[in-house]
Amino acid sequence: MATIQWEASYADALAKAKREGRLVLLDFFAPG
Amino acid sequence: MDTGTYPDARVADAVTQHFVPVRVNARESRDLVGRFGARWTPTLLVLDPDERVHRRWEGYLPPTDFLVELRLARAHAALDQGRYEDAAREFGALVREAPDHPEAPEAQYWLGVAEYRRTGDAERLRAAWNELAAKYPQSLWTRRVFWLN
Repeated sequence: MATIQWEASYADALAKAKREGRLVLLDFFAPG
Repeated sequence: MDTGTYPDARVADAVTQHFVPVRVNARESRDLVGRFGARWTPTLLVLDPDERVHRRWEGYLPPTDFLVELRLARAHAALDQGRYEDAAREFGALVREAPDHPEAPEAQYWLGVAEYRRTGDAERLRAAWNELAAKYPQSLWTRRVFWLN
């Protein structure tokens, strides 16, 4: 079963998406 | 999201296969909150590497509905990027697989647009929108098409 592996930062996510030709899923959350 | 939606195997598979996921603390990342107008949490956006937003939604969604949003996001991204065959396939799959979902009329509407863009054949648009009206007569998406009639 897959587990979601979150990128460490928004910039990292953009860079990876560009390299791999994928879309970014960006989740704004409030802890607690 | 952490206790119900993200641990769901179908959600995790879909996210892993098609997206690069990232979480941003809305209390700490004021620049991103301002840039994308994230006035509530959770706010979810699907965007491409050029930061063009293709889909957004607010609030918690259970896995089945979250999966529909992901599929709509991919379909809209394809449509926005001129990949009309991909868009038609994704919108069509959603209508076939989840015909009773509240977002199915939206998918049927955009299926017509994608087919029209793909082929240049206005009859494809008409056929898809006639099907929209037949299947979902009470939908706001049907009113967008036939409000003059």
